[in-house]
Amino acid sequence: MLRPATILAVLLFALTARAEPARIVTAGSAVTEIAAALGLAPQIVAVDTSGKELDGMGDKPDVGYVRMLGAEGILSQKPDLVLVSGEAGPPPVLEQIRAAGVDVVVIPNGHSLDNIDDKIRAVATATGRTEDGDKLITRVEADLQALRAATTGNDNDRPGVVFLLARHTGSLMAAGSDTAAHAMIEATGGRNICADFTGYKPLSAEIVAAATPDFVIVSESVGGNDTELLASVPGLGAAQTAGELRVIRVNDAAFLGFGPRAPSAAAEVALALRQP
Amino acid sequence: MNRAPDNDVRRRGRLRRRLILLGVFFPVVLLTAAALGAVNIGVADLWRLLVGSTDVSEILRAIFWDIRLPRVLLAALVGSALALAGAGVQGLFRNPLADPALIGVSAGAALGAVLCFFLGWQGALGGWLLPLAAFAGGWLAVLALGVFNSGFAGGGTAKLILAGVALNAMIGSVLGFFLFSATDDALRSMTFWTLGSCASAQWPQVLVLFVFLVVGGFLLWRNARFLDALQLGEDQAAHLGVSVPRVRREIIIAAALLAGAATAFAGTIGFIGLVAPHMARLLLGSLHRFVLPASFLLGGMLLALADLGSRTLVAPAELAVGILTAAIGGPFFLWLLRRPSSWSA
Amino acid sequence: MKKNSPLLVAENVSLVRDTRSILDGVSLDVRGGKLLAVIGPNGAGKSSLLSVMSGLWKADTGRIMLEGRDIREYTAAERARRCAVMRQDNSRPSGMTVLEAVEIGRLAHGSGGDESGIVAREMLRRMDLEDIALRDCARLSGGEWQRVAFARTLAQVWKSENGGVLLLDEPVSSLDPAHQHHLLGSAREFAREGHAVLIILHDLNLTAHYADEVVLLAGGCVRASGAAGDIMRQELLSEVYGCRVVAVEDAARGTRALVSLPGPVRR
Repeated sequence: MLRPATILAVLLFALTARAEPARIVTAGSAVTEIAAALGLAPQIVAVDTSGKELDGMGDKPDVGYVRMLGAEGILSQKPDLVLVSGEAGPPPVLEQIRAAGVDVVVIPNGHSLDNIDDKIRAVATATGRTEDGDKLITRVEADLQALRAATTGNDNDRPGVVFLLARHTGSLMAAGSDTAAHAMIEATGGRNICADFTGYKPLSAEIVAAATPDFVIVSESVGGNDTELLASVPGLGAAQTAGELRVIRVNDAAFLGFGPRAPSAAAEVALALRQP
Repeated sequence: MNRAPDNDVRRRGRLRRRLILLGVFFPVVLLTAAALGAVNIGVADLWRLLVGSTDVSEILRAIFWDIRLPRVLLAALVGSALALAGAGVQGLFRNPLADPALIGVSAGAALGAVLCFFLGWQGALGGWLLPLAAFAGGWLAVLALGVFNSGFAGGGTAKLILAGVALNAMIGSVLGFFLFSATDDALRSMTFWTLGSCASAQWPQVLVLFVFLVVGGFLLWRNARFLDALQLGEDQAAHLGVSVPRVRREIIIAAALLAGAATAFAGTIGFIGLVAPHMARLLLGSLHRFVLPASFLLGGMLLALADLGSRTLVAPAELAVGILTAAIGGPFFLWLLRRPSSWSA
Repeated sequence: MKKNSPLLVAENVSLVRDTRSILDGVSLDVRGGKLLAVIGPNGAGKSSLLSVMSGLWKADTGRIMLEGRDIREYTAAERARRCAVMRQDNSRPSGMTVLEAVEIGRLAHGSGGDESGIVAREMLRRMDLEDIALRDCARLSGGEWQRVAFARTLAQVWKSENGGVLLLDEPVSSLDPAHQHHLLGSAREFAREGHAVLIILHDLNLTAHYADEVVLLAGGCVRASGAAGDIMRQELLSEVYGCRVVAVEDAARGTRALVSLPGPVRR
């Protein structure tokens, strides 16, 4: 979802190219990931909760959940630039930060591997790091190339895939359409057997019976061995004993964040899906 | 031995003093809340800000006047509005467990807001569509309840409660449907909204809510004596000269205005509408000319403090205010309950 | 105040609920200066009559005239200034003091303030309730609460210009004998001041002692009405109630007590 206002903001920034900011607050995992990849880690003074998962960000102050930011909390970090992803909010809070005279740049979301370079360019422009940005884009393009190589010729026989997201409650939810996981399954040459529903919902035995999956993708943070994992999900335990059902473990933030690490994470999964 | 009148004069004096004390605490609590925040503003700077001195940095001025003060005031007004609505509804239904949610206004407002998120319109009209939709949803729910209950007149209060329960359940199922079919992104926004927050406070919203508070508060205040009489039962109140259908209509309209506007700007915040009126009664007895202003003051202070916690406890992050209303109000309420007959002693 | 003039009149009142006839052609006058008792067995329609006569319910046929005007034409406040009702099903307002509960009686008389406080205190004095004036209503015994409700009802029509009407539904059901006499004595005294008082009673002995006039209701119809002496006869009461009612002479004072005793009715 590209909002005209955000595009305008990014354009305005490009025109008024300014000195490199000294103190940056980031919110949104892709944005933080990009900023860090551009070598801005020392300038980043605070990140949102998702950003704390990233390497080297663990000891930065936490400005909270990206949709539940507070104006004063962010301003207390004395930033001269606030870089946030499209879902950051509530919207009036961003307005309040702007009204206090601090630049706020919203990097549009996009659940697609194709506009990662747009995000990188936007962050690079906002922070005056266009050269590093171009280098990073080249690297991402190379990863995308590898992904394409891994998925070509795969179209006729796409393996069935279930992505399981671990909620804090410990329950595992399957990704339907309209999710980051769905977009990634498609990009890696898999077929999401849960595409009939939207959002993350509990997996039902019926769905599994109707379209037996070949692979289960799950976060590497989920504990237990594969057998235990599959036994805990309705339908999958039976599917596993009946046939071949393999588990692929991924780094959640890299795989679902649509940041610079996403193409290589996708390429890894794509290769795994092609294993006979 | 004509002691009773003297004692009564003394008792009323004591109640009045307690009310005045609450009235003094109110601005003190608000000022304290405005003095504290993630950004440290020293006492000296605070004074300069308050007297309008220009000897303060631009950013501190922006933080205090445009971010913190509207937020503290919005929190206080939301708390006051919810508490007043709760006092009105509890008085009307003669039910200590009644709260504004009972007449469907909270569920309706949630439905309006969720619909807004569902359609991706939460940013429309400069951000005003969301509170507008929430307020309209709350009103539609109350209107629907009125229609179920034949225009508030024929049905009686007992049926009104039951109709409210049914209405809440129906709205709940529609809400559930929207939550089920929402995209992951919309679902997260909806969940966040239902947790309640005063973070979006800006001056125009404070002003709008203040107008609603004045109108709703006036409607309740002019029915204060009738609410007292209703405590004897509706039929007995009618014999005492209360036009029960008119009073019922006005109380419900006032509660819908107050709770609807509060929910529209701050999301669903529970506990205050239920408990602040009880605190008021424990401190000041049952007469609504005491209960209403005391609920206003207690509700406002409670939410201003809860919001202070939500801004500062995990700063620079925000804590959901709903977690804190109960955490702050609960122990205070239990302490009041423990005190024997605090209002009459 | 015109003594003996009809302040509240039921004209041929009928009431039907769910196809069942509750009241059928009931006519009666409540006159200033008189205490009228309505008696009759359970289900005779006494409380329904009270709800209709107070203007709370609309009669299906017939009408109720309060001071010469149809009672349904008054506003709630106008009606309340002229006619006070003490119901059996009062709920107790917890957290409210006795004095406050009695002051509510003056609700229809304007913004209250000092005047309602003065009247309320006077009523508490009359009913001997001053000692518990500041007690929480929720902590009263059943009898105390009944006396408080009566005090409130008195306060409602206190010094009413045109007399004022009291309608009391079993006001002594929870009282001990001494307080029963005290309350009914007060009600009769109130009537003597020119007010009209209608009391629903179960106790035949008290009825015989305090009522000036009696209406005997049975099956929604007036079975008999007239001066207390004419109605409170053993034969009539035994027949209507279906149990033995006998008069016991109090030789020392020269009075009689009406009591009911077990056993079949003697024909």
